[in-house]
Amino acid sequence: MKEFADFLGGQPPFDGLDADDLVRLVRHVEVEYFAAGAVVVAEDETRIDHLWVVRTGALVVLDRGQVVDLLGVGDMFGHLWLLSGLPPRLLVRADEESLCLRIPDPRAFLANPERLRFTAVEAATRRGALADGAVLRGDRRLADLMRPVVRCAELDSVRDAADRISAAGASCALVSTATGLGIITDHDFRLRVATGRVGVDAPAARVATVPALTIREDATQAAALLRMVEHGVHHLVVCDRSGRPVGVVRVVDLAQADVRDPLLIRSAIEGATSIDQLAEAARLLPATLVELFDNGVSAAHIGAVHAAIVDAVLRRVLSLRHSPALGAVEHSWVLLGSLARQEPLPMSDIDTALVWADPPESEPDPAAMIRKEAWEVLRDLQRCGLALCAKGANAHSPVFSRSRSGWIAAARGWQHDPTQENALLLSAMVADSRPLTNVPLGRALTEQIRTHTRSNQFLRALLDEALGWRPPTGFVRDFVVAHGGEHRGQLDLKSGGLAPVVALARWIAIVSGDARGTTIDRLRRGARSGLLSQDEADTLAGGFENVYAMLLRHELRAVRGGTTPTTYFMPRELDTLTRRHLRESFRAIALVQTRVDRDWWRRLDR
Amino acid sequence: MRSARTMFRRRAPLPTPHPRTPWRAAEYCVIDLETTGLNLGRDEIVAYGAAIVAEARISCGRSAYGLVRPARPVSVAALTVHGLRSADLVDAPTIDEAVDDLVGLLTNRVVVAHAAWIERAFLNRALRPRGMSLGRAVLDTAALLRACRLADVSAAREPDLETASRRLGLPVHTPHHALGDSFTTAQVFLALATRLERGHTGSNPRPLTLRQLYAISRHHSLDRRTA
Repeated sequence: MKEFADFLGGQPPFDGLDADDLVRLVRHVEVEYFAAGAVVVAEDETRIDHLWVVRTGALVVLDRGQVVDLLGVGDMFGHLWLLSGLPPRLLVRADEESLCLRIPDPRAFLANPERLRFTAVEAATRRGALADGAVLRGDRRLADLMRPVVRCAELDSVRDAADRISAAGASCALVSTATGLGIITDHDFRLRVATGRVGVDAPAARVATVPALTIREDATQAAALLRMVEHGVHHLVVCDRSGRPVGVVRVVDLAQADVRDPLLIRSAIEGATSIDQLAEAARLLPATLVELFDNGVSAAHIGAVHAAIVDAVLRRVLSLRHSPALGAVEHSWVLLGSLARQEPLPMSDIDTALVWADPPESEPDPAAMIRKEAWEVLRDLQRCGLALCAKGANAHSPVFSRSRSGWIAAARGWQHDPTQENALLLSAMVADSRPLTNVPLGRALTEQIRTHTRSNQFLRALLDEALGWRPPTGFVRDFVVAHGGEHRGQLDLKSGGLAPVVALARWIAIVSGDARGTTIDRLRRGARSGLLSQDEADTLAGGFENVYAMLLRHELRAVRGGTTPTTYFMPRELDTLTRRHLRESFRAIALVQTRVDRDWWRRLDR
Repeated sequence: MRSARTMFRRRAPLPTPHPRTPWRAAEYCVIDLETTGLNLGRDEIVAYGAAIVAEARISCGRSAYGLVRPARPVSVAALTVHGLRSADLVDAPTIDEAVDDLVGLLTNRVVVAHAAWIERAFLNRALRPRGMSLGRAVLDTAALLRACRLADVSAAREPDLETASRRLGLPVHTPHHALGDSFTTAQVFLALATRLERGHTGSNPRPLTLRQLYAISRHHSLDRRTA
């Protein structure tokens, strides 16, 4: 059995196991021999509870009669389905006489299952199935971290409140006021009492921040971190299911570097009094992202923190810069693209748009002046290290800066005649928009989405556009990758892995008339509205999370190494498990694409 | 051989699966022995390895390996094959003590071995004091190799296990180690039975049974042809 131990121990996911676990693993192996053509996994299998590793020979994977993959010696089938609990709906057959190792779910019997290198399966990690004994640092429960609540009454004096806080060794107290739950922190004392603005005998409620920011006790550490970064606060009140405060978490309670740094940046951004200072603060962004990643914070949360920091930079630029023409008109800054969806990659451009209220007819068109000032704002963003959109989605461009009526007319025009130049591309870009300032006005970009003037011709054309992003499938033993040019032999994970899911989720957003949220949010909504089945939504979400995490890791590694990150991968640089996992993800995504393509019409009526 | 056979007939054969059992439904004990030498009448077992096959799968967790302390010294020829010195065996049980373990492994299973006549002879000698024997329900992978035309039919010698395994494209486990060889033999057995099942079901809708496997193994065994 040393043969199997050497064989399995030499490759992922088993190569990180210690000798004892390797012995346990081999003890659970069953050896099975398949004649050419024999079925290994039937198509109607509802649940997979074993992994198959090819020891000799080859297995062929078929999707409704079509060969989608060939598994050679060392290749594994089943891990994606085992971890996700989804039915594979694929037929696996021996292509030639094959000896296979059949292994029950290894997480059930290994002493250190966290050493299984299912590296590419972060999505599944979160589902809890894998989390036994492998809790990520960024995902500890708040209930384990929070501190007891110190309370004071609304009419207690500031002095009493301060005494109570120090007696409890705490840094804040909660106070119930007529307008809701308030919080008094030592920061408030420094800011308001120490400066003499509020006397020590004044009622405590006068220094309190009302309402206090709360979070549910079953939220994760990472979610709390995100909430703190988003709101720039250092304390959160932890509430139980009924909304009753049960504890307080502070920045320092959460963790070390992974929590402090984003807030450090955030306060440096807020405290910047010049563009130079702001640029200095913004320069901390890449290192912060690297640090978050090193601390085991999930990719989705890193993306969200990144977006929150970019939001803060743009807000700060707007408040630092004096723009008379913009100041004279009601306007809204809108983020587009991955920042709008709050899932940027470390090297993502900042895509912006601008919308302003229609001026009275009598006044001259302010567009030219507005765009000039918008360009100044964008230049400041550049100075802060944020790259503007290379493809021209920038708020100073006439295509992306319009009056409210201008945007509505444009959107109506694209819907009416999807064949006009760039109509589909612009419709798609506008569907990924998130107003940062003057939110009601900023919604003008997506308002038209909700109207029912959209034709099926338009939706079909958008779908064609979305399905134009195809994952690389149909390959055998290796990727089919770009054949020529600079990236010959490389795989673009962004266009091949991320874009197909993002585009389909965007189509769902447009069809359902709700453009908000991340790709995952949109997929969930798609499942709720019947545009996708639950399985399809899970498949796409899993594929997205997987590729997004890989790209994020890839780019952050480049950031750390000081090299220029790309979204291209050399297939041989990926370990076998990742390669295999990607293939399964791509195949699953392509399958959903085909199904939506076939019966999208029926889905609209559900 | 004839006198030995009449002698065994009086001993109770170990229980085996019903001969009409489809081959995939039966349990097998694929066994390999290392001995002090190759004199079937005098030499003794020094190690046994057993791979258990159930539902046509080799279950690694159920395999067994044991050392046995022989009464006579290990011959130099045998030592160069399996490397087990008398000194390695001083703490091992005697065959009388180990036979219970062997009976447990063999009971209600079909015995499979490569060049099975050797294993059969040694095992029957070990079982004799208990009034037991293997009976006739033994499958020989050497014979099955000949049946599948994977070994020289005219040769007077048994095909080499390692060579046969490689020829089938199968991995070879530690050679000349009782457990390693029993595993290699078990893999070869699965491959051959799968092939024979194919040839069989081509014209017959009913599954290949143990009875048919016994017949094939017996028909192609070396001692039958030389007899």
